[in-house]
This record gives sequence, structure tokens and C-alpha cells, in this order.
Amino acid sequence: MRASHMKLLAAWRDDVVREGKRTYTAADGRIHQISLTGTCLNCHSNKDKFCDRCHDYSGAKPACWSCHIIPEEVR
Amino acid sequence: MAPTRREFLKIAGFSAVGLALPFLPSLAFDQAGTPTAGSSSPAVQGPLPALKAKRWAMTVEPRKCRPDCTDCIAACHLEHNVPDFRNPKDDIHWISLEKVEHVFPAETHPRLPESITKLPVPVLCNHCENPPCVRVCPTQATFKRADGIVMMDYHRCIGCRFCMAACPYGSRSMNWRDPRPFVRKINPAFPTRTKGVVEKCNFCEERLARGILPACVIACKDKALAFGDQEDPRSDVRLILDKCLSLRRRPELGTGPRVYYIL
Repeated sequence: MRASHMKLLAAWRDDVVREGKRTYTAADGRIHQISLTGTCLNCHSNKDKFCDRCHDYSGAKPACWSCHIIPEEVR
Repeated sequence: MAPTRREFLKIAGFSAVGLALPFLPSLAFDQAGTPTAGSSSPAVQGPLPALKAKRWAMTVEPRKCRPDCTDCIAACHLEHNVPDFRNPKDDIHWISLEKVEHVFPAETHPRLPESITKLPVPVLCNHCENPPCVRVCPTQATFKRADGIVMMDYHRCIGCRFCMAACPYGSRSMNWRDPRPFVRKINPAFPTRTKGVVEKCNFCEERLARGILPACVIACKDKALAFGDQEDPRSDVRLILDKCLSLRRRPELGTGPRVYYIL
């Protein structure tokens, strides 16, 4: 996941936006709603620790949060 | 035409599999076991099944609009985090009110009664059958879905504004600045846009996926907006279209708009 989460996110993004496929069925049969703000950040709720720490270290500057909303930052 | 040997064998094979399915023990167990094992799939799916159609369409009846009512605009712009730059030059709109003479320039003439010329006409993306914006988009950020919704993939938009030049209805707006500080109240269920992308009405496809009608249609207390499948003779849209004369904006251009106006 650490190495290729960006590929997963890009594939999910295309599934939702372009194919209208909004759920992902995992190998164990669980169904997940594909949503960055709604699903991913539900468990990985601390963006500073979960996203930024590694991105800062590796110098990656993904543009996710210029549009997608970080739940605790909502006014 | 009689089926070829190959087609016949295909059909026979599928039929055999279909007949055998209920008796396969592993599959039967799977079907019974999934809802309990999974993290409550009905809850994940949402309370309502997605609304589906062959061709989504909308009818607008401006005569039903109350004067100075902007409920549809407010609901849409709140739902989709549409910014308000307080400057007509930078204005971003998914739905707006226009004068009849601007919406139907070819149909207006000096002898139209004031009851018609003074009507506020809600205008939005027409979700054309033959959308010029899709044809000109160099990155395929704008595309037409199978159900007719002309949608934008904001991830791909490079802000070239070809689509704005191509759209004959002015349905598209450009974010010249970062819109987020200008969104009055952020709806966490929908992303904002970023600087340098074009945006427009999406027929509330994110709501349709949750089984809810578009925000403007729900917000309109006067039932001036109706939404439905134009291929389904029992849909709200067809019930209106089938009984009176409806207009489309600039049909001579061949774009095939799917927002119908009853004036």
C-alpha cells in the first residue's frame, strides 16, 4: 500500500468519475464505498501523520487536498 | 437469422451454468454468508438504490416560478460548493436565472407580452445529445456518460477553456482564483474545485447515485423543474413533454439539448 497507493487511488478515481462504479468489493467480500473523504479518511483520520509525514519526507506534493475536503478542516 | 453453431453452443453453455448455479454448495453459502460477514453492505450502499435512466432530461416551467425566487440556485450552489466571487466577471454558476430574450433570442420579438418577457428563466447545462464541449476537450476531461449526462473529470481539466468557447449556452465557468475561500459553507460530501479548472452542472449525478433527485428539483417549491428519463413514457419529464409544446435552446445548432422549456 505504501508503494502503490497512488495507483489504487488513480484507479478508484477513474472507476467513480468515468465508469460510475462507486463501490469496491475487497478480496474478503467486504464492500467499500469509494470515497477519499468519506471512506479513506474515516479510518486514516489523521492526515498529518498518515499523508503528510511521508509526502514531506519524500518531497511528493499530491494535489488531492486542493479540491477534496479534509473532514476536520470544514468550517 | 438462424444462430450459427458457435452462437448456439455459447447460449447452451450459459444456460447450463445458469441452471446449475443454485445447486452449487459453495456459491449458495457465499450468497447467504456475505451480508453478515461484510461490513453491513446495505449501509455502505446507502438507503436508496441509484436512480438509473437511458437519457436523463429536465423540464423547466418558468411560469410557475415565483418572482425573485432563487431557491434552485441556492440549493445547487450549496450542494456543490460553488464559490461566490462577488464579481460578475469571475461569476461561477451551475444554474442561473436569465431573461427570455437572452435564453431564446430567435423566438423573441417586440410583440411578446410582458407576462412572457419578464419571466425569470432558469438556465443550466443542457447535457446535449451531441455536446460540442466534449468534442473540443483536448484531455477528455469532459465526457458524455451512457445515460446522457455530460460530466467533467476535474482531475483532467487543464483549464484551456476550449469548452467554454464551444458551449453555445454559456453553461461553463472558469475558476480564475482558488475558489475555496469563496465558498460560503463547505459541503463535506462534495469536493470543491481548484484554481484553473472549468466547472458546470453535472445533473447531480452524485445524488442520482444515492437515489436522490437533483438539488434544484427538490428545492423548487413551485414544481417548476421536473427531472426524469426522457425515454420512459411514465417519467415526470415525459408526462409534461407529452401534453404541451416545449422549446429547447438554439436547436438549430444540432447540439440536441435535453433541458426543455415550457413557456
